[in-house]
Amino acid sequence: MSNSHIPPELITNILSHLPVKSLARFLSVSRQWYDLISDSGFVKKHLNRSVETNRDRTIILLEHDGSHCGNGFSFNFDDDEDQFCNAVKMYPPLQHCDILDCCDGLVCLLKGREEVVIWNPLLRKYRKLPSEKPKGVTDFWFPQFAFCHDHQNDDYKVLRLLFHYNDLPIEIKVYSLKSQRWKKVEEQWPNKEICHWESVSLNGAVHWLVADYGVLDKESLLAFDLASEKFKLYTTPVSPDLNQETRLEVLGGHLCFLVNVFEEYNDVWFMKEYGVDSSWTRIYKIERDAVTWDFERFEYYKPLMFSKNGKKVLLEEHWNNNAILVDHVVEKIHSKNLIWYDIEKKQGKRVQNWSFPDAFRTATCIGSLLLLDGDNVIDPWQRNASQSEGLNLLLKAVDELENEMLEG
Amino acid sequence: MASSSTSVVVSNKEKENKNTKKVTLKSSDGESFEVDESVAMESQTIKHIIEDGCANNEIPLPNVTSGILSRVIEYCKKHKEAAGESEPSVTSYTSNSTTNPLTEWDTEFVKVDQNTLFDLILAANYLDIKGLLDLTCKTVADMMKGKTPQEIRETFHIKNDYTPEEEAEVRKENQWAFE
Repeated sequence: MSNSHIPPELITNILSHLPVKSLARFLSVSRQWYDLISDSGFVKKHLNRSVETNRDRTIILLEHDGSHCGNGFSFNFDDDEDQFCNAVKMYPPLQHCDILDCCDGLVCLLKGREEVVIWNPLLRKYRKLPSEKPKGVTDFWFPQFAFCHDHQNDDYKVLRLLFHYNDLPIEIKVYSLKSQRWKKVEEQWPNKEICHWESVSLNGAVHWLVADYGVLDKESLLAFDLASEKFKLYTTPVSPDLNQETRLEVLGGHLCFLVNVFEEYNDVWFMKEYGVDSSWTRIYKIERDAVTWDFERFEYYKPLMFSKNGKKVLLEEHWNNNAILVDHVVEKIHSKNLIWYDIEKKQGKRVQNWSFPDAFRTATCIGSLLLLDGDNVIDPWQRNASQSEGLNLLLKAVDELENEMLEG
Repeated sequence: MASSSTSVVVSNKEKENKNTKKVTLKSSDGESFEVDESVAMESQTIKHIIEDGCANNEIPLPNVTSGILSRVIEYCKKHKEAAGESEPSVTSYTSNSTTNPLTEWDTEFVKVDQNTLFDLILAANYLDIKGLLDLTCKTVADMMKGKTPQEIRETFHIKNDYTPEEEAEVRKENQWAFE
């Protein structure tokens, strides 16, 4: 009968099984535990376990007013996938922003042309990127951003393409979370036109659907590797017809190619082996009668993730709300419903949850301690409390000054 | 793959011998346990000792008491059996769809008092049995989830080396985690 003492290396093994919230609390246990938990090796180990076991699997819904995101909720679905439970109010560190992408529990937010923030919603920490104003261009410039994990260097990076009017990108820069700096990319953008602004990140590379100028039905897949900082081209599984739209997505850790025939079907392909053109495989096709299609606003079903047993896919209804902004068309996309689609039964079921905002954008997270050294996200009520505290102190000081003057 | 004592098909003497070969494990308090070699090799530590030819058919384990060793052996036996019977489940596109058929048995197995649990962790670590280590660590983690920092200090006999100001600061930074 002993009061066994558990050595530090076993403590870290135990800690790696804990969800993010518990670990944030246990930072207060002792200095030694603070060091154990914030150690970068431990953070990596913890993240790997989260990925293996899908721990702290959370979906963040930020309400969308047609142009920007506001506050929202996070929903946990570790326990029961059909239920989106444990609605926790979420306050993003940036208001009136848009969700760019998410990876390893980090969400990248974008506001306007310049403000970029990397946020860990489960840990309530964030880092604001330093502003990087372009030089040598007129006021008329616009950027496209992408967020990606550089596997080789184990770094999280934000890519910025700078466009001057509607031409090819004239400048490419990369921000590294590790170095906390922007750096210019020497490689030139190839002579290809981007088909869709939305890129997807996977395997340490950012991907776009591109085409030769004026030949928009001959698409290919352009990949930019963040470690080598080089471009590479791959083929797509099918070429679209005139009435077909194509999209790139990421699903279950694979590149996904979606063919959308408006009001007819969504045909979805997987690149089973990354980088191998011949490995494109059709995985499912949502037909007309599988779900109720809202023809007024519906555009396509964006796949978010597989269910734990891999038999269902969580889909996000997407509709397109084009807005004209300074001579170029900016695609604004917001969603209304989440649907579980059963691949075998070819049936979709809408997720009913009264907490869901009417229109929203989503991000998916898993338990991660990244950005533990970041800034704290302050809840608005806390912010207001400290503001009114400041105000009270000010009023008190004015009072005292007045009294002094009266007496004097 | 799974051996059966009633199997007669191809009589491979060497194979048969391996199947029924035993080793003796000796606990710190001098008790001996005879087990199938294949079961004992669930422990990477024991596996290396046997492969290095240092076994002599009795392996002393000075860090493990008989009470704990008997439980460890029970775990290894059960998991060795199950490994022989089950097939890897067909995965579709997700990497996480392999299920553990022994989940219920494992849950019952770790329903022990805290001291035993901690001793099992130490033994699993010393004997290098990954499955048992993960299981016991996860069990302790689950037990820790709802606790306060003070309760954690008591459970693990940790000295609070923060000054009151430091502790308040760290707590304030992560206040939301206490709600």
